Amino acid sequence: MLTSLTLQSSLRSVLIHIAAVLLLVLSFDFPSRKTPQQMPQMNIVEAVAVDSAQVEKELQRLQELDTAKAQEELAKQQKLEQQVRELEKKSTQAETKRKEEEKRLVDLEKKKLQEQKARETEQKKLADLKKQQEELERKRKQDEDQARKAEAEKQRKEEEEAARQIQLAEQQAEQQGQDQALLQGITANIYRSVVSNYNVSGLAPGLECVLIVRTVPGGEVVSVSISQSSGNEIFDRRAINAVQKASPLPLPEDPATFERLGLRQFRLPFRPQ
Amino acid sequence: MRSLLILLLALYIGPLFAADELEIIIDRGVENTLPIAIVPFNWSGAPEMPPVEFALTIGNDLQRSGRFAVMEEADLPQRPVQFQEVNFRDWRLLGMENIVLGALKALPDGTFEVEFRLIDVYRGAQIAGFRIPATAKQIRRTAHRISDIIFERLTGIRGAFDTRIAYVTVRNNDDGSKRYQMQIADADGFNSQVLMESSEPLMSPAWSPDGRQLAYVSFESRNSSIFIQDIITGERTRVAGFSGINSAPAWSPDGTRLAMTLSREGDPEIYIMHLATRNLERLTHDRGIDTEPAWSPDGQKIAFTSDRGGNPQIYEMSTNGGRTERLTFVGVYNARPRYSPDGNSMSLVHGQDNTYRIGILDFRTSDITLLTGARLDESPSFAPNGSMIMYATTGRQGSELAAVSADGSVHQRLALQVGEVREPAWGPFPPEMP
Repeated sequence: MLTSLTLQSSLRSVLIHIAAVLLLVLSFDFPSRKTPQQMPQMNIVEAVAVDSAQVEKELQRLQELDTAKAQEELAKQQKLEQQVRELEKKSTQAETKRKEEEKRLVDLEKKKLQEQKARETEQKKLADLKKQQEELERKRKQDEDQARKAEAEKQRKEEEEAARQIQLAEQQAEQQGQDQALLQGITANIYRSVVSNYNVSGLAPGLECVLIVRTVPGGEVVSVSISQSSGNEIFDRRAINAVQKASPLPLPEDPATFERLGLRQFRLPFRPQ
Repeated sequence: MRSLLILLLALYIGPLFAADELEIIIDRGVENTLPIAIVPFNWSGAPEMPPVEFALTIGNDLQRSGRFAVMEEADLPQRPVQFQEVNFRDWRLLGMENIVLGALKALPDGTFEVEFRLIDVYRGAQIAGFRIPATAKQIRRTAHRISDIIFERLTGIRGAFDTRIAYVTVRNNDDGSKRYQMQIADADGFNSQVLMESSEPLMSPAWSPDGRQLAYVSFESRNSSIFIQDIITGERTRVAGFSGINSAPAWSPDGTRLAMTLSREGDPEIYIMHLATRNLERLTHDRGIDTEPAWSPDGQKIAFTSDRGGNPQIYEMSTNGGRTERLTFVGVYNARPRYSPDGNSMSLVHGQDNTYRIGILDFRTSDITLLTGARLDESPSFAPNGSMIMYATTGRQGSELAAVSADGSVHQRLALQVGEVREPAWGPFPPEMP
């Protein structure tokens, strides 16, 4: 709309200018078609041999003629000019008016625009506000949601953690149960292995000694030491020999299992019934 | 809250489980023989000395006890002389627990020195090591002494290999007569000596507690008499030559008295003779036959065989007299009691269905365990350490000596010379080594 408006006003101004130029061209056409001022100059050379008085008189007349003509011409010119000026003035006035109108229109337009803008701004403002509010609301909701979600997540995580702990505990319990069973089996094997190598023939009754046995995965006995002696050298030696002869003891090869079950070192109390 | 509880629980169970050191109580074992290897002794230090089968003698001793499993010489993985030469790994691979190394060295004065070491294979350490001086004649006895040391160090029981036995041999002469000999030998039957010889029966040898004297019964004067003979000097004394039966002498543990069976007052009764005064105390007063007295190790009681109940059974009474207690109730024939050195049991001859076997009566359970399974076994006699019982059994040449470990696990015949061998009596421990 703004574009078309500008085009209209520019078109109008162009037309006004064209009219002015046309007027100017027309006014100048008249003298150039007659070329009065250029002709007398060329005539001056031919009049040399004429009677000076005559000439003077002619000249006078001519001058008077010229002056009258010129005055007439001038008046005409002036009138034309006046007309042009008036036209121009009129045109200017119109232009001004038009411009004013235009300006007014533009201003109006501007105003309208401004108003529009203001309205729009206001609207925008309102919208923004609303938006803001909405945003706030949304945010609040989001926050709430988030809080709720976070809470839910937290709870879920807690529950998960609890479940995990339970599972872990169960796994541990299961592992421990398995280990317990494994250990029981290994213990029974060690017992059998040592007992079958423990020669109690002729040993004095009522004696007891405690050995500390150190092993490596696979059951190789690394060392046997007396933690508590029976006080009877033969009794102690038979116990030590029982362990040494039982080496390698039936222990797991896997180092992890071996360590977890605590088989690196164990106590063997010997107290034959 | 719940998770925390479980976590705490898990933490609680975890370390408790891991920190508790494994403990396995070994509450029983096996009754096994002890594996031992006797490496042949090095004789290079005494090349002129005839090589007594030293290792073999020791090995036989230990094997006979029933407590050892002696490795065959052919199975030895190596024959080290010095401790440093022992390859413990090789011996362990064979499950060998103990090895014995030794050497004989000739000394400038013509005597010898026997060096030996008892080595614990699994500890890689020496248990015992000795240098024993010996004359040429004592070499074999030295082997028995070494057996004793090994036995004691490995079983905790004093060895009884360096002991002697007395027994009676009977040979038939070409003219149909018989020749009886009272003999003494090493416990393994070697080095026998004749103490007394007779064409009339000799019976019932009994050792004095100090091992210097032997009491026995001789029929040399047609009637039975009890003699005491000094083993070193050969000097003999008749201590009982009463009318009727004079038999079954038994020394009191203190060596001052001799229990015996006499029928001087009619039926055979148990008497105690005080050797210093020759005074007699009559112990039994019963119409039946009371014979074969034996002293309890503490000298407080005497056990004997009596048929007062209708058939031969074993009874016991205080040496001060008093009430008689019947000890055997199982079977129709239990005779010839001998207390074990620890006083906890008694060897006897148990007869059933015309077989006579050696049994052990356990005083704690009153059960009789039969140790032998031949048709006619008799005269059981405990080794002074109680680990073995020697007895007479019926072999191809008639009666011969046999030994059984006190638990009945090991039986061995002692092949001696030609002829019958009867009534072995195991002598006491020799005096302690200087």
